[in-house]
Amino acid sequence: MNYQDQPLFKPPVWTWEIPTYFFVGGAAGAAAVIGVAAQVAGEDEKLIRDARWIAAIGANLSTPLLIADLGRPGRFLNMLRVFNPQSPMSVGAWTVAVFGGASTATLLLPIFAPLSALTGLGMATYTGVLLGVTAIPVWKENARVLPVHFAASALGTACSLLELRGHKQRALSSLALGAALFETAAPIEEGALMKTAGVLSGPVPFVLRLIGRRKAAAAATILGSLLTRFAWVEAGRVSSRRSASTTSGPAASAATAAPPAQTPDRT
Amino acid sequence: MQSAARTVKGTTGFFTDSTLCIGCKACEVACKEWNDVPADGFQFSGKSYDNTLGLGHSTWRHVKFVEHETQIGAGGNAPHVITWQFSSDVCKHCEVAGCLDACPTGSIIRTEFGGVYIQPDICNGCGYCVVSCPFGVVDRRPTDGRAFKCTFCYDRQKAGLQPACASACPTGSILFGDLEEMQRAADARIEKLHAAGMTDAKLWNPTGTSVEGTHSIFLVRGDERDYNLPSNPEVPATVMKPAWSSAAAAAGVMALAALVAFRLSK
Repeated sequence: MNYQDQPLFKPPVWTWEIPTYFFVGGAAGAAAVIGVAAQVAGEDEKLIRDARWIAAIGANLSTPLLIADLGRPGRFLNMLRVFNPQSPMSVGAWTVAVFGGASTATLLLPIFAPLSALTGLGMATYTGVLLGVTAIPVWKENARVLPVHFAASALGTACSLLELRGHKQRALSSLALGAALFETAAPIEEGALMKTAGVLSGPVPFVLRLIGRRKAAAAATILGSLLTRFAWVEAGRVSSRRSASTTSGPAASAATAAPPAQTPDRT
Repeated sequence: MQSAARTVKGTTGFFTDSTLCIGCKACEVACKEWNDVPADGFQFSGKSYDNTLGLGHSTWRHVKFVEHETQIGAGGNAPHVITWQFSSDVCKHCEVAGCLDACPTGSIIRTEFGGVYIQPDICNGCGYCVVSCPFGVVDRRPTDGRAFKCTFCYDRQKAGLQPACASACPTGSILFGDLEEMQRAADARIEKLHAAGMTDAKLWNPTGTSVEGTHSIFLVRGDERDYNLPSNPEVPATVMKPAWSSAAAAAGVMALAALVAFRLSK
């Protein structure tokens, strides 16, 4: 029994900026990867240029979103005061900083494209680590799944954004189809938001792509991906509210719980 | 982090003994006064004599009013009367501290006394320590934007004083001193209580867990989880390797898939 039914953990204090950033930053990172892959394959210049623009715009939206969520936004540069490899937040802050610079520079100097793609891979995956490496039970239990889940969803979004821009490369639709297939299999926590996000990221775009409704599939993927991030942050909030002093560690949850104390008569 | 004048040498700790606590909340008040911690507001919780309910950004010491059913015959209480255990909670100042690991600004540091301290002039309120504490201690103050918790009275310790809560405690329920000395005092106390027949008394200090022990030792009666003291706390770092491995694998597959997809479709 928890003390006076009080949860063990504090809920996350993050507001809408953080899940929005997870979405925007992830899509931007994946777009940078697509840009380089398309370049290597000698693809259409227009596709490469659009991918670079999505990466740069996303990166430049990410920073203000992250700063806005800080309790003391004026001190955002303190993030780059130290590098703490023990903290996924610190690793992420440096990744965002380098990715932001590289993806913006790529617009003028294509030599930065590989660096942009490399840090873009980090952008698309580290946010899963950021949630996983915490005390919040539902995040921690999914620490292995979240980075892959977010990566697939980011890749699907980047392809979908390019498709909505009118690009019709078969590579884009195969990658998006693969991402949708993976998202169909991705684990889902309880909650209406989580379920909606899951359906919109997985089965809906998968089926729409099979029947040739490419743009509709792309729109579903993008919306599903955004909702997925909100759903996972919300799941953490619910999980911390329910956190019990009995479920902190594996040994504790395996131990037999104390018999529930009856509500004592206070009179 | 060298200090010129201090009387306590080496690492320090609290030993909080719930069997001596009378629930007066002098520790809460002394902490608030010394550290200039704002009021919590006037909420009525309806839960025992506790309207604060837990540690937070404006509560760095918190007296729990744990209600247990009385065993008939024990203590001479009537069967319909509950027993109260009071226990003053505080930041655990973990040996492996989730908040310290999580801090991206270097605001959270380990002091020369072994405590975990948030430097208020550096914290930018990212909130990552809030979700990384395995005891739900750290919290961000909405009116301020920064994260706050017990400072272990770092300023007082620097000046050779004990923390304000320990100074104010009228019953010796909160002891402060050299960590090893506190462990010895706790061991001696539990032995004495067990010898006197209080067999449900136990010490809480999670030395065998990933937290690797704390600078706050507690003596409680009954199930420690009734005090929100988890029997097997876990620091977030335990999933660090699997999470990053998974991220690396995902990044590798993504890069490969993109390269292959564009190569094949060309």
